[in-house]
Amino acid sequence: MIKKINTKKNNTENIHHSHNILPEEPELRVKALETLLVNKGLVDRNTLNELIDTYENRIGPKNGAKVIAKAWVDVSFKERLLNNATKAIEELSYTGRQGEHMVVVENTYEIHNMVVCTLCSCYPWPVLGLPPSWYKSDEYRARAVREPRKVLKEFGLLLDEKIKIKVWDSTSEMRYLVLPMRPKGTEELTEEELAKTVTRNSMIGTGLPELIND
Amino acid sequence: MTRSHDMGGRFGDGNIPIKLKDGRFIDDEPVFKFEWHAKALAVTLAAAPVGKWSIDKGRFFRECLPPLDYSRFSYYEKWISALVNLLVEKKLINSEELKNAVNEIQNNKPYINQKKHYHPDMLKPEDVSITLGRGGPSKRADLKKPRYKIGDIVKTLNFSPNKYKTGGHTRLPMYARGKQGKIILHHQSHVLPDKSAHNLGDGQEHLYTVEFLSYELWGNTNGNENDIVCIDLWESYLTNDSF
Repeated sequence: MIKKINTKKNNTENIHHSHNILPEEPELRVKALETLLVNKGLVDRNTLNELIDTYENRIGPKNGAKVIAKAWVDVSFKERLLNNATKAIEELSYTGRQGEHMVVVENTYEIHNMVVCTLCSCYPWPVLGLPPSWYKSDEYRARAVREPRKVLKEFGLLLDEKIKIKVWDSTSEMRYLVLPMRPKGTEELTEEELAKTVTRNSMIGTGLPELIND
Repeated sequence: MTRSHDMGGRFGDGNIPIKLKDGRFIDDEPVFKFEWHAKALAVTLAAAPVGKWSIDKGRFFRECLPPLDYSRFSYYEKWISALVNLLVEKKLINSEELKNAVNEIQNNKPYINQKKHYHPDMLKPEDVSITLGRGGPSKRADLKKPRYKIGDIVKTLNFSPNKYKTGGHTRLPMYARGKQGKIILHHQSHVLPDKSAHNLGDGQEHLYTVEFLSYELWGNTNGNENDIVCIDLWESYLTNDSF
């Protein structure tokens, strides 16, 4: 006799297929879920707008650039930043979600740091905002740990063979921010002007600060 | 074994999808490329206080998308699909309701609930800023003395450290299993994702950053003598028995 097996009950992976109830088109998928959750009183439409506005307009790499520029002009802040980044960054009020535990890693003439998250896309939101799409791409996640030099070359960054590359794979809730070297010839610049040279990529390690020639 | 998300070191991926002009990187990407990206992010963040799943469980549900879906979905498609599965698992929504919602939208008459009952934990617009500002720290009180100290040579386990659930969540990447490294940072005790993803409590353990030489991870042909990969690893992922 053949026993009937209830595959639904036996396969614990089935719960992970529920999303297939929704249509393929991502736009429709989101709209359906949003409508349902708002109607059920589980989420509020104004809350959604507030969240979008926060990450679209208020939190971004400009925050991180201020941290870096401050570290360049204020030796004691830099010391605090390297000793306890979470606390030092709190002085500038960039706290919270995806930046609860911060570590700042300093570039030198010998060491170049770069950050990746091979398992998902962990990224320090309060100082850098939401990650750019290349950071979340399979290409970056797969290759950054194995061939960082080739990856950096694609970003237009050619490093001397002797410089050691340290790749930080963000596997825990520690979030990494790169402190790039202050560009040469910026002795006259104010902290505010210095912040403008700090690119997003320079704080991830896939670029360097850039002087604006205008 | 592992799941599709664990792609560090994988072969087959092409160039990093970026734009260069005259050898310089062009950074002109908007925060949200499409409106639905913004909505996907917002709905996911707003649903978290109602669903009360841990960040680890959220990640686990993204990793558990069928491999074919995980590979072809864009970032926010993964988010929204995993969110559906989390909400269904928590019984906050069901398949019938999902089907109805789609029908209403497709027939262009989304039904509007007149007599509204709000979930007591629904995130209110005025609480967004404080909730994001508070975040969800993973640091916990130390339950045990650390087994390792900075400078110690350790080896990672050669299999998934998750002994609580087969195919369960873990943060030891496949490419760093069975490898020897050196402890360079000690972060005190943090929630153990392998437990937290499966409603097994915080299970906090000491967390370390371990550095691995490129040679150790990729061998003599792919590795080089200069480069280093630093990975955050929990105490139970590590051993020093063979030294």
